[in-house]
Amino acid sequence: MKKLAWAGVGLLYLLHNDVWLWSEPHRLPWAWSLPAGFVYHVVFCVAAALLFWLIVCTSSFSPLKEGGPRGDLSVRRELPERPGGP
Amino acid sequence: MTLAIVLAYLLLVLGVGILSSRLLRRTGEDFFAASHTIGPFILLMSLFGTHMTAFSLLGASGEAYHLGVGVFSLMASASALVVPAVTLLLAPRVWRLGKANGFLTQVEMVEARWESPGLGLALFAVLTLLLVPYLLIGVLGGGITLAEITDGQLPQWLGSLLVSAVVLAYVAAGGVRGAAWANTFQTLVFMALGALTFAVVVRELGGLEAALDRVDPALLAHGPAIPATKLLSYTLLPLSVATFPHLFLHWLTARGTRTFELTVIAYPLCLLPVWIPSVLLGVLGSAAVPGLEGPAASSVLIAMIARFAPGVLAGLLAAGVLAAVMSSLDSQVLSLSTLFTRWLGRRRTISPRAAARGEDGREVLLGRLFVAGILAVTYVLSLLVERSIFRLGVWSFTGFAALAPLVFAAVYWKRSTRAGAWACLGTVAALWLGFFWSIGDEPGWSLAGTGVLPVVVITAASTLALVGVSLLTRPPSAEALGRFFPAAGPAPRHEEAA
Repeated sequence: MKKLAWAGVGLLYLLHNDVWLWSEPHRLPWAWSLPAGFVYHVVFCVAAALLFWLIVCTSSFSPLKEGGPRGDLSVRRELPERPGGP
Repeated sequence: MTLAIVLAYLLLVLGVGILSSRLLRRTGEDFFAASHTIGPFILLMSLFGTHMTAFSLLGASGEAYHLGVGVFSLMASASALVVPAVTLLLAPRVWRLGKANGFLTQVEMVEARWESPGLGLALFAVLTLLLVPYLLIGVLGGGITLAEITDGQLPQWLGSLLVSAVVLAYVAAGGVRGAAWANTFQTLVFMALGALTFAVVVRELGGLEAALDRVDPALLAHGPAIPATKLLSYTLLPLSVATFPHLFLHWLTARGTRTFELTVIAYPLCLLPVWIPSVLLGVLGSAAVPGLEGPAASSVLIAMIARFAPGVLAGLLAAGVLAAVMSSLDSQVLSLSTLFTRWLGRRRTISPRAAARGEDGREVLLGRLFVAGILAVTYVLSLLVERSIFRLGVWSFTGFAALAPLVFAAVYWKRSTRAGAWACLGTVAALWLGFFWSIGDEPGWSLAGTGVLPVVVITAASTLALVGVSLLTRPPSAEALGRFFPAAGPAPRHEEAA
């Protein structure tokens, strides 16, 4: 799951470089007539939020969860609990 | 009327900051880290508000005025991916280390990690050097906003002075808790008013479609102004969040590691109501307010507000821009103050009476005095420089991004050594100063005309220096590693390598 999550981040990084829209001033009537390249990057931001939601909320892997319950972590309790480092 | 609304807003922010100071516990930890009590929403708002500066509103609209909609992909969508990823990887580890060892700054963390006070001092100097152009953005942005919106009634020098004075007052009163609460308030203000500004201006221009029809089509695509190599280079700039002292300080205010969840998920979405209006208004401004040359385009957003919004609304919208400016300036100033005070503070003792009461009064006072000093110096510099807000920001981000390998190595790579850290830091300082000195005034410069920017060269060089020198030198001691990697300690192969 951890590898899949970071593969998703890698894939989005590649998709950020939208060379196919590079010289495309084409405007999208269904998106308030905004340029296609601009809309692409707005959608990209939404996709990034969805990916991080998946990583944080639905996968068993998340560096944020390696400690304990939300809001009342005590580092002195949690540090020894994690083998391999903080 | 416009001026009255703006002044009323400044008083309101002052009130929020000072009100939060009633919650201040008068200890150094509370002044600088709010005693680790900030919850998810305030953390998101304060981190996001701190990260969004005059760069995001005035700088981005000014750059979009010249380059078009591609500016959104250069910074906004790249940040949407890189910033949450870096937060996810670093913030929980830094939070745990900070809480376990009492670190409040990267300087303390780096000193302890590689057992070198000298390295900490050198990092303090480099961070201060890199923060100066970032501070200038805020002071310049505040002055430009007030001068433009009042049509020169309030000159830029007086506007910058006013913004600096308000920030000084509420940061000195409330420390990081004051900054966090004021930032939350201001972040909500500029996110809401950004969308309102866009709606008002576009309506006055006859609707979005009609307004875009009047724009040069070249500004509606990336085009030759933003080659692929330039876009790739810009994806490295958001790595700067790994080393921004003001974000590091806000990370430590979190109540726990899971407090970061909301920030990681919502950060890409929060970018939209700020960057969409900013970039599009810059592009529309190229047709509505033509003829702005170079750095003068930084004022296009305010010029659009002044021209197309009525008096009361113009005041409110300008207050939104000021909110973005001040919500970053406060944390930047406070972080520099923390770096200085903590470095100096470790070399003095607290009186027995203050210690008995749990108060670090002198540490807080020292922090307040340094805040005043830093703002005074930045203000004077703002009167002397004439540079684009966007370009000043990019130079600052370049240096911070190139230092990111140092922070990642501190918390992830046991084999990294003191000599490797020195090599990394020295490489960044030397190359950043060299580039800034030689091509700082050439906005279109790239490596051999390829579109590759200095951030790529400096980050690659700093990484190579860190890795290469670390592998050639003796690993850190088991004691030092034990503080950072308590469960595992030094791996056997490290000893063998020694």
